[in-house]
Amino acid sequence: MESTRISLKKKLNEVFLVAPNDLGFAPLTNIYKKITGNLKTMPFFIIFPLSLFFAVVLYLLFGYLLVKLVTLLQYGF
Amino acid sequence: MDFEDVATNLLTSALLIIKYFFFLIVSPYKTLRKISLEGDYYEMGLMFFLVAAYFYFANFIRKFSNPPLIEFVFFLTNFFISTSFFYLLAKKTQKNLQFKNLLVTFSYTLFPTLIWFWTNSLLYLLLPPPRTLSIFGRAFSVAYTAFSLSLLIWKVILVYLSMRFSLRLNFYKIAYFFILYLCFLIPYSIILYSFRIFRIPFV
Repeated sequence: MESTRISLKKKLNEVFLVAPNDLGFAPLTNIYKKITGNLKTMPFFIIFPLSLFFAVVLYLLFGYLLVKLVTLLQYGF
Repeated sequence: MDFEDVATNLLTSALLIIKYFFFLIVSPYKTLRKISLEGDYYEMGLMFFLVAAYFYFANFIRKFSNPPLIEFVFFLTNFFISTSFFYLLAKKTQKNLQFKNLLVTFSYTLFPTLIWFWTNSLLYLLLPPPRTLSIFGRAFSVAYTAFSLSLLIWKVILVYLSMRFSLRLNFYKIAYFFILYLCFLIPYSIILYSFRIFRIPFV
């Protein structure tokens, strides 16, 4: 009982570490919660497709300049 | 503190870093929240060791203008300036903050940076630049851009969560502090580039 109580107290302290975000405008707060809710667990399910989409868009917009940028970045380490 | 304690702490921290690495991919929110409460300096020290190992490896592949130790000292300077910057700003509005929490959580945000730089170094060996305009060159460029963007987004998420849990800031304050940080980081990076210290800032 005592160890369970201590674990629960520790977990509650952890969960309530910070107050929930309030952006001061209800629709904005809802949008924020929707976006962050999807990014809290397994964010790469969203990040990978999104990054690939932006990379393809960048290629379609800038063409060979993207290839030059990649060359620059590869020299960048 | 004797040698056995230090060795045990180091081994525990190494295991925790491996565990947290995977959990930061799967659930960054809960993991950074836990790290902000339970992280310690041994973990930060091991992260710095990984950074130092990278500088020596990269120097082995491609000679830097400066010795790797100097590059590592510059990295440490950047790291402590960045964390102090956020901590001192946050202290004006928040009470009961601990610098240690920010240092430890911020050190975990180095994972995306390390992955990108290590991958870049290995690609320099396996697929050395320049990239051509062939179909393979273009495909690789798109894939590389997607990979870099993914790591950048992950980095932003980790930095945001680090500041949220260590400094107890809300969304607006984090965004505002970050914009102020960029106003300092961009000219600072240009100075480091012009002095041939870092081509791309190691943040």
